[in-house]
Amino acid sequence: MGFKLFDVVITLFVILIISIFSIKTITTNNSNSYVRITVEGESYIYPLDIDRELEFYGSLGIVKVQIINKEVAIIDSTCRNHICVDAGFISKIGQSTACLPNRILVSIESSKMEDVDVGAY
Amino acid sequence: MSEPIKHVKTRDIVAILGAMSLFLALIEYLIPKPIPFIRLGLANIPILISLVLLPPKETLKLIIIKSIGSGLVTGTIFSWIFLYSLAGSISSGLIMLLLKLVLKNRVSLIGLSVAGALASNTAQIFIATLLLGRGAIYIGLPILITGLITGLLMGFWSNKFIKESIWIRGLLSEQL
Repeated sequence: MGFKLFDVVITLFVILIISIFSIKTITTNNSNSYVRITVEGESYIYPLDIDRELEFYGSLGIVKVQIINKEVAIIDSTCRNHICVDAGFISKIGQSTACLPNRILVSIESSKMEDVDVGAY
Repeated sequence: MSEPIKHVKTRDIVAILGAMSLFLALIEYLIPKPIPFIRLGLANIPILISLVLLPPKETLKLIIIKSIGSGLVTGTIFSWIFLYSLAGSISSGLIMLLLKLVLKNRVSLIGLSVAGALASNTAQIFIATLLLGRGAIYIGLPILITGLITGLLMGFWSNKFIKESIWIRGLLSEQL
């Protein structure tokens, strides 16, 4: 029904462009998000996509924070309950984990903050 | 001697197609849009038809008429949305004219419509990233996919219209 050769060529070409575009947006998903770690009121910022282990001196003692595979967790702490360690890894923009006895707050933020659940105006 | 008559004729066709695109923009405005930014593009049918009927200059004229007209109908003419619409329409128009010029009879309105939809959407996504920052690129994917589908639909529709309209058959036979 009226289909010509270049209709098919153009359509296939457009499908190709869309798939390239989708692969690109999916692979560069968390590129502009970062980890903010607040220790007793002082803020430190680290990129989310570089794996590393960090140590901070909180109110009670050393707290270890691990960044791996674009996820962050408090892996060891000198506090009593270890709730922070049990909380495990966080990976999404807006999520946070904390060790309250040590006054350490770890959160993932983005320069755009586009992944927030709900916005209130 | 027949030149001025022909000129009046193309002007009439531009006017009729322009009116048609205003009407279709209004119809489009009436259709509820569950997802923002995703539109059928009904108002582009007259532009596709004009690719067959009119010389390139008149098609560009029609694109301007359509942009201003649909801006008036939907009330967006003095907002940022008008800039998106204008950029999209002009880039898609230029791409379609170029492809028509290069491929001539080897392409039908279906291919031109799909290419035009892609050009329009990429232009709009580009402007969105300029105005809103790189985060705007995430809305791009669903827009491009629906653009492909609606582009195919509008192409089919325009092809059908060209084939079955008595008015257009009359115009084409007069030209021969």
